[in-house]
Amino acid sequence: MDMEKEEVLKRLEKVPEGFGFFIAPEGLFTVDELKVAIKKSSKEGEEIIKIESHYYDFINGKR
Amino acid sequence: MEKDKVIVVVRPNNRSTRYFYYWAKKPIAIAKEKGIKVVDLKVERATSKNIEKAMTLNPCMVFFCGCNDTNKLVGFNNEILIDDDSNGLFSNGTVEVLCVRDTKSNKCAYVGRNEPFVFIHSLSTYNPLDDEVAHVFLDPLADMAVDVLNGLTVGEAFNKSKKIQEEEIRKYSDSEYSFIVPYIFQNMNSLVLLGNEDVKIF
Repeated sequence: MDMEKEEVLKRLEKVPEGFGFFIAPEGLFTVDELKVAIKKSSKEGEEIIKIESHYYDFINGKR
Repeated sequence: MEKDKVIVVVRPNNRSTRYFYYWAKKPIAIAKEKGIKVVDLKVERATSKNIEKAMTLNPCMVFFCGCNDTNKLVGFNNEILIDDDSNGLFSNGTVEVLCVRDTKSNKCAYVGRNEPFVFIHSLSTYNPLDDEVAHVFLDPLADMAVDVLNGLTVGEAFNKSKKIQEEEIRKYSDSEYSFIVPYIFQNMNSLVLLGNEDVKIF
C-alpha cells in the first residue's frame, strides 16, 4: 500500500461516531482494508461499517 | 438578461452522486436569475447522447456533478459519459468538474481534481443540504461556479475558493471538528485549474 493510501486510512480512524465518509475514486480501498482501519478503534472489534457505493457509513454508532 | 448564454449541468442522482446532485442547485438558481439558459441534464437525462446534443448549443459553462474516478464520469445507469478516451473536454487524467469557455475566443478553463477526493458527512441528516459538515467540503466548488456566473474569471474564482478553504482549515483546527481538517487540506491541494485562467463568461 502506498503512503498516501496509508495516510488516508489512518485519518479515517479518527472520524468520530455520527459521521460517514465518501471516497472517490471507487475502489481506492478494498473492503478489508477499510474494515481493518475501522476495527482498530472499535471497542468490540466487530464489523461496524456498511459500504454502499462510495459512502462508508458507520452503523450501530459504535467505534 | 443573458439570453444568448447557455450552461449545461450534468447531475445524475445515484447513490454515489446524491450529494453532488443537490449541490448543483445553487449555481443553477443563480444562472436562472441572470437569465442564462440552463440545460439541466439530471437523473435519467444524464446521458452521453444528451450531452452531445447540449454541446451543440455552444455552452459557456459545463458543470459535471459527481465523479466516480479520477479519469471518468458516469451518468444514468452507470453509462460512462467522459473518460480518458473522450475527445474535447477531458484530458490529462483528471476529472474536470467545471469547464468554462469564452464563446467568442473559444478559450477554455477546466477545474477538477487530480487526486482522490474524500469528504465527511453527517449520518443524522436526511437532506444532504442540511448537512453542515458536507457544506464545508462541497461549497467551495459550487461557489466557484457561482462566482464565475457572477463575472469573475476562472482564475479569480479558483483562487478565492482556495482562500476560503484555507480559512476553513484555520477555523476548524481548534474545534471539535478538527478531524475534518486533513481532508480539507488534501482536497484543497488536489483541486487543479487547467487551461486559460483568464476565461470568464461575461
